[in-house]
Amino acid sequence: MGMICWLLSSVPLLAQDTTLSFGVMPQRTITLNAQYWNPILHYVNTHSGIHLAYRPNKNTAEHAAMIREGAFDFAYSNYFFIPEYVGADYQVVVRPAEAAIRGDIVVLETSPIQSLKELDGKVVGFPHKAAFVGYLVTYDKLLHEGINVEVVFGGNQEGIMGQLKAGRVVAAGVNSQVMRDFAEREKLSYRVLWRSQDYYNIPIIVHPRITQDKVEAVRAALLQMSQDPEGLRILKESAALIKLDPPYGFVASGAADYENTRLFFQNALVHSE
Amino acid sequence: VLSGLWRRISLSSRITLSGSLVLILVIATLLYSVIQEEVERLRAEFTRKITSDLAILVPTLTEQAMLGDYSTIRQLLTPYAERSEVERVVWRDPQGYEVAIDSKIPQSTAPAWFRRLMQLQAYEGWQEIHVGGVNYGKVGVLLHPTPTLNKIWQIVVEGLRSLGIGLVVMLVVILLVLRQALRPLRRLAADVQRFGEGDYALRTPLEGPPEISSSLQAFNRMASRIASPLAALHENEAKVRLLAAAVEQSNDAILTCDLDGVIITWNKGAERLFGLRAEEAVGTTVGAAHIQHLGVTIDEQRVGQPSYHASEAEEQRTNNAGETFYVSWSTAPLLDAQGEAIGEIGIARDITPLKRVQELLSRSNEELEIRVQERTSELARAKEVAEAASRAKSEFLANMSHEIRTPMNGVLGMTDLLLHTELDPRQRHFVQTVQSSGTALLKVLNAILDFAKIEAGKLELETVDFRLAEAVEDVVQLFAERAHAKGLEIACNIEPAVPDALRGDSGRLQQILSNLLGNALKFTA
Repeated sequence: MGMICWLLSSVPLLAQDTTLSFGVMPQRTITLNAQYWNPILHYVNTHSGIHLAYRPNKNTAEHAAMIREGAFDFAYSNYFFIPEYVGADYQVVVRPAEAAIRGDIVVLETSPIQSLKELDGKVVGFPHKAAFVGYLVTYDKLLHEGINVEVVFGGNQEGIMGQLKAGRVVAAGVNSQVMRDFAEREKLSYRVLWRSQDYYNIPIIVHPRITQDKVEAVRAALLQMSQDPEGLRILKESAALIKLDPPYGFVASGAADYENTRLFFQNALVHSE
Repeated sequence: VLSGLWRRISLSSRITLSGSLVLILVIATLLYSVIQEEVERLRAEFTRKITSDLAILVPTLTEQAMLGDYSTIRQLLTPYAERSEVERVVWRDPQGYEVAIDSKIPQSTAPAWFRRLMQLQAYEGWQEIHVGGVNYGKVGVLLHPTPTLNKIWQIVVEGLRSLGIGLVVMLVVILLVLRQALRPLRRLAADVQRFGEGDYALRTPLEGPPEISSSLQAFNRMASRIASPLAALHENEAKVRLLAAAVEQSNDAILTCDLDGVIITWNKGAERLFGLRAEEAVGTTVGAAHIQHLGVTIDEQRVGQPSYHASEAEEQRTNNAGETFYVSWSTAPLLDAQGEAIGEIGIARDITPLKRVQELLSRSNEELEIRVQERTSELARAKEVAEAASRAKSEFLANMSHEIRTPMNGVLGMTDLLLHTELDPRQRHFVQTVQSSGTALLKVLNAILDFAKIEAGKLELETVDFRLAEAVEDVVQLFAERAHAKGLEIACNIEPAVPDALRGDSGRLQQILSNLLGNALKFTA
């Protein structure tokens, strides 16, 4: 009886039978996203009493459409900053604890190119079309500068860095932190032609139809994860799957943290898929 | 029964049968081992296949399972279900909804007993799709053993076919080899039979494999060693058989007994003579068989008296019909090879007919003696009469000759005187005829007189000296003229070795020669 009482007391009063959907921007495969997020969501479920279930998408178009339609109750996505998707009016709940990221347009140290203008007509590489700072921010800069380049995608961050090192692309749009780590490991010298402002990584957002108490319960659970040994273990294991460096967990955030992001998408010339 | 059957089976059949059984057992064991190994391998393969298939299916289906895309799941499962060993493949979501693809199970070519023997059941495996600790359903695979059983059955059929072919080939090879190898043995068997039938000079030719050739050589050596003793033995056996047959078929009763008087042998003759069959007599004692003359000297033999010899005797017996008959016995000790007495042999003969003949003869002799005595008396009397008649005749002849010869000499003297007178030829002829006839008559008279003397035992020969040549030539000369008259030549030739001066009766000699010459001239043409 005592055990039953203990179990009941460990479950928050907000526990409900309904399951809330949790969308994830399809940066990675569905399986990898599930491997990453399911343990976290399980932790949240356990500690908030709110049952979140990962709702995968076949592709970004479907994900974007569901953002636009407000189909997700919660989501890990930045599509809501894109003007055509803002109608759902998602709100930021928390953001990853990691530092803000920047986009760099870089060339090899030995490259004769000294300015962005010199990239006009050249082959410039980017990780992939969904890479926010590596492609959207950096390529949008070139577009705003009126510099026409031949775009080549490397598949991921290090892929295009490898092509840069091999000389197959003249310059590359990269995540500044990832580029720094790659260069150190590969003993590669490079020069930054342009660096963007800091952007926070993708936040966890919630649809307005979700009651505040549930939002708070979820937020609290997410925020305490890095402080809780069990939560921290889950975060580390999930981060290991996608080779994510600390700090782990989430921190409280709001619309202000993503104002520049919202503005970027509002003014962006690059087309985001 | 089996051992009896086995004994009747020939060596070729035994080797062939044994080889076949061994081959069948070996191949059956090998086949069974291979099948068991194959079954175990297939079981492990099934387990591994299910594990590997699920390891492939689960990641393949994971995203679609998470997306709840049942149509895609069905599309993904369908190619897998088309594999021959897959009976069913299923995806079941956490709520129990299933997407199942059933495949058509191929028809089993293996018989039911083989399927039961193999004990290969359908293999089923399930694996849940867990991603990040969340269950998105599970995948199940059901593998049916029929295709595998068909494959194993095919192996068995091919194995049995190979076994059959191997058996046939082996049987043919064994039979050919054995037929070739045993031919000398068959010939040896025939030769041994011929050898046993007495062809002791037979030697079998050496051929075949070394083992058999050495056997043939051993037979030849044995045959060489025992041929001579066997021939002698064979001859002795023939003699013994002949002797036994002779004894058995003899009209005489021939019987033997041992030292205890127990009858050992009893031939047909004994059966006929004593009215007791051999099976009744043999084994009983001579006393029980009422044979008094056999075994009587056994006690003497037992004490080792060397004086025991064969003996003969006669007895009078009465047969079962109450008739009397006579038996002659000849008994002798029965000795073994070392000369030791081991019993007695007796030969008995029915001499009743002989006895009857002897009696008849005895009576006949008596009668004959009487008749002979009578005849002898008669003959004596007849002899006396005949002798008297003979003496009278001789006296008559002697007297008559003497009485006739005297006047005849007178006649001849007168004719001789008459011839010396003057006579005309016709008279002379008459006188000469009278003289010659008288001379011939005188000769007849002399001959009659001589005969009478001879018969009367009174002929006497004179003993005087004479010369043989003269005596002979005188006789020849007497016949020279007659011989000449018949155109014959007569000559006298006396061998020089013949003595001339002799002493005897020259007149009788000349008489003999004259008779001979006269007959010679008379009968020579």
